[in-house]
Order: sequence, then C-alpha cells, then structure tokens
Amino acid sequence: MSAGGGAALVVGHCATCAADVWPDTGACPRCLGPLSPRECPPEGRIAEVSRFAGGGGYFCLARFGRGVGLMGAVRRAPGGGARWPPRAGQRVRLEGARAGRGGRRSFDMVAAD
Amino acid sequence: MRAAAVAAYGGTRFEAGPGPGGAAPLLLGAARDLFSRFPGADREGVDAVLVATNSDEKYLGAVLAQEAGLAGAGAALTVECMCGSGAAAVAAGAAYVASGMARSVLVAGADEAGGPGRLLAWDASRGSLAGPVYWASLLAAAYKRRSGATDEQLAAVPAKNRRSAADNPLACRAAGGRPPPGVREVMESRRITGDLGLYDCCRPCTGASAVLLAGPEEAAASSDAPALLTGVGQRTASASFAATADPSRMAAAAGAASAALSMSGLPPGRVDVAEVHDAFSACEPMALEAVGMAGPGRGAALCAELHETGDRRVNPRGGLLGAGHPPGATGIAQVAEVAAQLRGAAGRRQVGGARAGLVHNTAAGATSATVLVMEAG
Repeated sequence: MSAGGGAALVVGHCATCAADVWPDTGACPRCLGPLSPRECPPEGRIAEVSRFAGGGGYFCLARFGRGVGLMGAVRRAPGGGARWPPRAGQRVRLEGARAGRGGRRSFDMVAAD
Repeated sequence: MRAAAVAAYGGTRFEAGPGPGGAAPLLLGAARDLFSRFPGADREGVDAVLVATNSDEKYLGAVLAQEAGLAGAGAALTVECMCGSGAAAVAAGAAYVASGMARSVLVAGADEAGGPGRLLAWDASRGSLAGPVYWASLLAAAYKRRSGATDEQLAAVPAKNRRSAADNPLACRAAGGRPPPGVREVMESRRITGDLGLYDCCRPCTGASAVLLAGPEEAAASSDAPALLTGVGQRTASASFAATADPSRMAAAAGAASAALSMSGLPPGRVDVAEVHDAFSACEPMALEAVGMAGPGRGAALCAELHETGDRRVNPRGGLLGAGHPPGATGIAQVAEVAAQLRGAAGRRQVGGARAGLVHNTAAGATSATVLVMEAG
C-alpha cells in the first residue's frame, strides 16, 4: 500500500475462480476452492457515498478486486487532481487498514480520478 | 399441508428506557397480554414455543414455556436473525403448523434498549463504520440517486409514521410528550449524517410482542376472525452489507415478496394494508418498491401522498420510526398489527375494508428479508 496508509489488508484469493474474499474464512464462497493470501488490490470503485455530519468529510462503500466490498472514509488526494466531492462510480485507492474505534480496523481511501 | 392462522396476539408497550434486565420477563408480559386479550385461546393446545430475540440469554423458549404454564410444549427454542428475528420466527412457526408438527405455536419476541443485536460483529468489512446509520445513509443516498426522491418526500415517512404511532397504545412515546413532527421539522432535525437527520432514524427501545399461530379451525375457536397466513417468503442475499450488489434496491425483500405473493396468489395491487420495515426513512419507499406496492422509483412519491392524504395503509402501527424498534419484537408486532387490521379491530388506526395485508421485516442493512402475506379468514 502507498505511503501514508496503515498496514496492508490481506484478503483471500481463489486460484480457481480468481475471486477475492474478505474476511478470509478459508474457502471461496463461489467455488469452495482453497484461498491463498493476497494483498487487497489497492484500486477500487465507489458504489455509493455519503457525508459524515458536521462537515466531517465523506464515507463510502467501495469495491476492490474481484468481490471485496469495504466501507471507509474517503478523502481528497493530496495536491488535488481528482474530482471532489467524491461520487458513485469514481475510482478510489485503498490506503490501508489501520486500527480504528472499538478495536475494529478502519479503511482509508483516497479519491483517485 | 394446511394453512396457519393468527389466532391471538398481544404485547407490551415499547419503552425508550432500559428493560427489566432480561428478555424473559418481557416475553412473559407479552404472553400474558395475549392470553388476557383472547381468553378463548387454548393454552393446553400450545405445543411449540418460539422466541425471537437478540439477547444473549440462553434457553428462552423453555423459560417462557415454564413461566407461561405451557407444560405441554414440544419444541421450545430461539430464532435469531438480528432485526428480522420476529417475522423469521413467525415463518418458522407457520411451518410447524403447516407441516403438522404442532397444532399451535406461541411466537414471542423481545429485546431491551442497549441490548446486543444492532451490530454484526462478524462483519469486519464495515470497518469502524459499524453502526446502522452508515449503511442506512448509503442506502438513502443510492435510493435518492436512482429514483430522484426528494428530501421532502423522504421526510414525509417519519412525519406520517410518528403521527400514526400516536394512535398506537403500545408505541414508544416521544420524549417529553412532544407532538409528532411535521415534514419541515423532520428536515431540520439534527443531522446524524449528510443523508439522515435524527427523525429519519428509528429508536432502539425495550418491548415484547407475541402471536399465537394455529390451524384455521383451531384459530377460529379462540378468535372471531383469525387472519390466515397465506404466503411466506424469505431471502438472504448476504450477511455483509458491503456485499450488497445494488444499494439502491432491496433485492432480498423483492425476492421474499415474490415468493410470498406467489404462494398466496395475491397480486401486490390487492394488498390493503402493509407493515414494512422502516428502520430509516428511505427504507419505507425502498420496501414498497421491492414488494411491488409502488412502481420503480415511485415509492417516495407514494409515501408523501399517503402522508398528505392521511391514508394509513402503510405502517398504520407507526412503523419502526414511530413505534420504536426492539429488534426481536418488531416483526411480531407487525404481524399482530396486520392481524388486528384484518379483524377490523385496530381502533383509530383501522384501514377501512382491509381484507389482505403484508408484513416485511428485514435485517442487517436489508441483506435478508421475510415477507408474509395475510388474508382475512
């Protein structure tokens, strides 16, 4: 993952049908084939986006690789260059999975086009 | 296979505050209310007890069977499906009756405010955005984008349902006895996210509901006009909200409704009264479209029209937005309301001439749904 993000998110990758699966429960839900660890593909696309209250930025549901859906905050790319505010269909880059509230990992995304 | 019918129903009032420290006394309260409302209901004939709850308490089916004096119960167990537990338990109870495994089944649901059941801990894909308001905001944004629904149309949903709840003696009361908000007040309420205000969100609360299911003949002995369960449909699209293919539509609800309506043979246009799972404002029009009571993209306009005309046919009980949402009890309270409507016993909430009704109960960001079709006997 790029600089500025946290630890990489490791997903399960199916060698049989190429699905990416997270959380990795050991078997591919599509074909029940075995999964091997793979870093989550960093480029994804926003399925839908909304705002935090009080002008606190945006959050979205985005899809990465073949089958990994994640929810997290999305922020403007340093130096601009990408459309803002973010919208459905826009590409995002997963910066990483860092420790978040309540012990859950948070996913930080950056607008990418 | 024989049909199942709602022979009796009851419940406790939903309260915003904490409960008695466990689901068992709530369940017993709902069962007591049921048997006192329907003194002809045959307790001796109850041979299954199903409990719907998100509580971590164990063996609640047997606990309720003992506490309610249902010594003849065979199966006594818990059904858990997060916010959809209630209707899922009714569907299971209907299957017990229809298969002949039980003559009559007591289905009771309860939860306490602050209890478990609002967060799916397994679903790590939501990251730290685990609370329901985040998926609900994304659903609302996606629905508005697809349908062109306006904020004013969506604000009519809580305005309508909180107004209806004022006529429901079991509904959770507004803090300080405030009157129901109007559309403008909903729109100006404190923002929870960019797409949801305070009034767009249902209130977690404490409460319990119960229904007694039986075959039509047995039900007729305890109720003057038992409501028949003529269609049952269930669909599970995923466990994780992040796996939802299209957040602007409720695919699980559409599948469940198609199955339930097909089983009953009733077209959606003949549904006279519906209880749909309005956990958040946008959920009601999305549900109406999914079950076929509104055309694609027309749900919000229908909700606004119902509000403006005072038409009570959708969520006459007040829905989750008006009545409150103890997850295990909600689906059962929805079934009880439709049964009361079909008996003509809903008082000020009565929808005139109601002969057919529908219940839609869902869970975990609309990833699964149960739809029930009910018809007057």
